Amino acid sequence: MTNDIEDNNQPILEIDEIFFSYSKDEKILSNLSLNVNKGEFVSILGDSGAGKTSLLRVINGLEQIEEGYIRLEGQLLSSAFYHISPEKRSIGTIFQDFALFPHLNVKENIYFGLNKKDKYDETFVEHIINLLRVEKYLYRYVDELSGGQKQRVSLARSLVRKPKLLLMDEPFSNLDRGLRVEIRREIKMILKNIDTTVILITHDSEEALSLSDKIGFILGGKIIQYGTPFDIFYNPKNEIIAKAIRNSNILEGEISNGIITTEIGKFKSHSKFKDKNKVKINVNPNQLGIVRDKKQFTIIQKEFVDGDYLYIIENSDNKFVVKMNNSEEFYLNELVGVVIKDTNVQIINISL
Amino acid sequence: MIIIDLVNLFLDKYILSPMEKLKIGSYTIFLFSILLTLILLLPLFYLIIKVSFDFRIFFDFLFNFKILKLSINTLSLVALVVFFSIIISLPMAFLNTRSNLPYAKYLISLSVLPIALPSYVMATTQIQIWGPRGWVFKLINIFFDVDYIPSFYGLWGSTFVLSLITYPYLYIGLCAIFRRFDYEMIDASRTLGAGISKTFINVIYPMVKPTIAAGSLIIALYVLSDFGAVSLLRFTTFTTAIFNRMYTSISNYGVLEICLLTILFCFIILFLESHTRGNEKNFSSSNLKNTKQLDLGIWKWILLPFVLLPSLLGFFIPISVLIYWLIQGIINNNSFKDLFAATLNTVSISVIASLVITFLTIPILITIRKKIKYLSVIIEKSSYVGLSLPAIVVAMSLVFFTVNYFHLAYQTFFILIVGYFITFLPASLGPIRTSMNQINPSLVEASLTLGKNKFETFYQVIIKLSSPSFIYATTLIFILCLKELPATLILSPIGFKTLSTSIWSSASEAFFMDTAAASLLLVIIAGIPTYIFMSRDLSKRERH
Repeated sequence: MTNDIEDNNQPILEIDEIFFSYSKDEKILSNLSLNVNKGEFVSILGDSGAGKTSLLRVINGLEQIEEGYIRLEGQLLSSAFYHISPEKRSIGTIFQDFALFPHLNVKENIYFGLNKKDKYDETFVEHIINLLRVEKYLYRYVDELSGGQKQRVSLARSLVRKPKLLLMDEPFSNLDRGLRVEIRREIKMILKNIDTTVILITHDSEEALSLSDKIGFILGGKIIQYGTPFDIFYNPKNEIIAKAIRNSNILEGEISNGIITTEIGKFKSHSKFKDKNKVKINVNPNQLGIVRDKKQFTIIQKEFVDGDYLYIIENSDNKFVVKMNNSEEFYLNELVGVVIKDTNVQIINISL
Repeated sequence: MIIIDLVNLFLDKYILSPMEKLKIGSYTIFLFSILLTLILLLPLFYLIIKVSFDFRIFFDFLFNFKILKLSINTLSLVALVVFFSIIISLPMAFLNTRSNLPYAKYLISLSVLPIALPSYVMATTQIQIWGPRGWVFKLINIFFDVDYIPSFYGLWGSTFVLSLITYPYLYIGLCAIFRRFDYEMIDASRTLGAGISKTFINVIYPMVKPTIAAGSLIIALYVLSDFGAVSLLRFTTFTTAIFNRMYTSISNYGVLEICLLTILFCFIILFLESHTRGNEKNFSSSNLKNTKQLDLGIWKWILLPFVLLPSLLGFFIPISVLIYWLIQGIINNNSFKDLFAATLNTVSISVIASLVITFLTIPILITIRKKIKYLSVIIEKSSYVGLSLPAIVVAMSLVFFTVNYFHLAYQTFFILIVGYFITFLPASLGPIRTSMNQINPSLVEASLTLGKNKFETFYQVIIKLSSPSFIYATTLIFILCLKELPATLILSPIGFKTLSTSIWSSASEAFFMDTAAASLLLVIIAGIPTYIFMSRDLSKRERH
C-alpha cells in the first residue's frame, strides 16, 4: 500500500493493488492502491497519460480491472473475475464535457437517473435543485445554458441519486478562469453541506490544493504519494511531485551533522540522514533571494504573481526560481547573485 | 411530435420492457440479426448456386464483346450520375442551410422534391420535353426552322434523368451535416490566412467527405439497379439486358450471369465505400446555437435561379407534363375507377414495409456497433447487399426460393415485404448509423453511471437522440416502396394492383397519357411525407 492515511475511519472506497490496460503492451494502472474515507474530498493529481481518467473509469465500472479489488462500503465492485456494471454501483460521475442529454430539458436531465418505480425522495431532489440554484431554468434545453449552469445541472443530476461516491473528471477545465474559481468554491461548499465523498480528477495542482482534504499524486499508473495538501506541498516525496505542485528549486548537496552543503550555500534539515550522503533538497522560491553585488546569474524571466515578483535566473550550470517582494525591482537580463534567506529545508527522495 | 411519442411508447411498453423482464440478452439479438442476414443473403446464394452448376459457361460469357460493351455502358452511366449529383447537391446544400439565400427555408424542401418521382415517370415526362418532337423541339421551331435536335435517348439522356432523381439522396445528408456544422471552423480557417477556396478544400470538404462517400454509394447502386428510366431511354445496361432476356427472348440464357456480373460491380463499389468509412469521424458541433449564416451579398440573387433549377427540371416541369396529360385524359373521358384501390394498396403496403424495415434495422445496428469479430463485419456488408442487387433479381430469387422450398409464402405479402426488406435496408441503415455515430460517447457513459442498464440506455439515449434519423429512414423507405416497380410486380399476390404496377401496365402498352393520374397520385403520396419530414427539420432549425 502506498498511502499515508493515518485516520482510523473505515474507508468507503478501497482500491487494492489493481492493474488495468487497454492493450497488452502498456499497463495503464499498475499495482495501484488507494483508500478514501467517508465524506472526504480527494483529488487525484497527475499529468495527462498518468492514468487519472482510467482510474475513474475502473471505479465507476466503465472499464474492468485485470487484477486487484475495488470495494465500496465493504462490498466488492470489481476484481479480475467479478464486475458490477456501472448502473448498479451507486457511483455518480461528472464528465469533463458534462455529458448532458441534448434531447432533454434541464428537469428531464436531472430526473433521468431517478426511477419512478423505486420511490425517490422528492424533497431531497427539490433540496438539491434549490441548493444548486437550477430551478430558474428547469425547462430550458441544454444548449441554452452557460458553462456554469451546465456544470450545476450535471452535478444536480448526479447528486439527486444520492451516490455513495461522486467522481469528477476535470469538471472545471471547460469553464472560464474567473468562473472556475467561483464555481469550484461554491461546489465544494455544496458537497460538504450534503456530506458527499468526492474523487476529483485534475491536472491543476492549484485546484487540487485548494479543494481537497487529501491529494493522491498519480504517475505511471500508480499513486506515488497520498496525503493532505499541506503534506504534499511542504513534503513532496520526490522531485516530480515537488515540481508539479509548485515552483520549486531542487538542489543536490552533501549532508553532515544535519547541515547540507550545496553550491550556493548551506541549508539545515531535521531529517536523519547518514553523514557524507548525497541528498536532494527542495528549496522554495521564497527561501532564496537575489542581490546586485554578485554577478553570477542572468535574469531570464520575470513574472508578477500575487503582488510579488517571481524571477527565473540562470547560469551555465543552474537555473533557479526566486520570489522577491516588490520593495526592490530587478530587470530582465540583469546580472545578479543568489542568497539564502531561509535555511530550513526538506530532504526529498533521490529516486522514485 | 405525436408519431415519435407513440413509437417511443410502443417500444417502451411492448418491446423493451418485456425484453428486460424476460432477460432477453445480447445473444438473442445477435441470433436474430444472423437470421436477418441469412434472409438478406438469400438472393445472392441462389445466384451463386445456380451459376456454379456450370462455371465454365460463366467465364466464357464474361469475356464476350457484348458483355464488355454492356459493362462500359453501365459504368459510364454510374460515374456520370454520381459526378453530377455531387455537383448539384454540394453547393446547393451549403447555400440552402448556411447562407442568407432568400427563401432558403422553402428551397430546402423544394430541392428534395425530385426524390418523389419514380424514374419511369421522370423518364416519360422528360422524353415529352426533350425528346424528338418534344416541347423543346417545338419551342425552338417557333423561332428557327430545324428538322432535328440532338437525341435525348441514350447515355446523356439517362444521365440527365437519373442525376435529377438521385441527387436528393446526397443532398439530404449534406444538409444535415451543414446544419450541425461548426461555423467557427470556417472562421478559424479564414483567420489562419486561408481563402474561400482553400477553406472549402481543407476544412469543409474533409468534413463532408464521409457523407459524400455514403451518398455516392447509394446513388451508384441506385443507377446500377435502375430499370425504368434506362429502358424508356433505350440505353442498354445490365438491368435492361436482364429484363429483355427474361421477357423478350425465348430462353432466359445469360440472365443469371449478368446478374452475377452486376453484383460483382456492386461489390467493388462496396469495397470502396468501406475504404472511405474508415475515415468516418464525428466532426459535427455540439454547439447547435451556432447557426451563423454566410452573407452572400448581391450574389444571393444571382445564385437563386441556379439553386431553383434542379427542382424546376426534376419536379415542377415533369409535374406540368403530368397535369397536361391528365387534362388531355379527362377531355378524352378516360376512366379512373381502379385508381382508389391501387392507391389504398400502395399506401398500406408501403407503411407496413417501412415500419417493419426500420424496426429490423435496430438489431442489425446493435450487432454492427458491438464490433464482434467477423460477425459484425459480415452482417454490415450483408446488409448492403440488398441494394446492390437490382430489385428484379431479388424478386426472381425469392420466387425461385418460395416455389421450390417454401411454397406457403409464394406470392404473399410476407414475401413482398421480405423483398422490400432486402432491397431497402441500406437506405434505413445508412442514416441511422451515421446519426448514432454522432452521439457523444460520454452521453452513453453518463446514462450508465446514472443507473440505466444497457437496454434503457440504448433506448433512452441512443434511439431517442437519433429519432430524427429513424423518421428520416422510415420516410425514405416509404417513398422507395411507393415507387418500387419490379419487386412489387413479381412478388405481389395475384390481383394486388398498386400505383406503380398500374402505371407500368399502361406504359408498357405505350399509353403514356393513361399514366398521368396514377403518376400524379404517387407523387402526391410520396411528396407529403417528404414535406412533413423536411418541415420538422426546419422547425428544429428555428428553435435553435
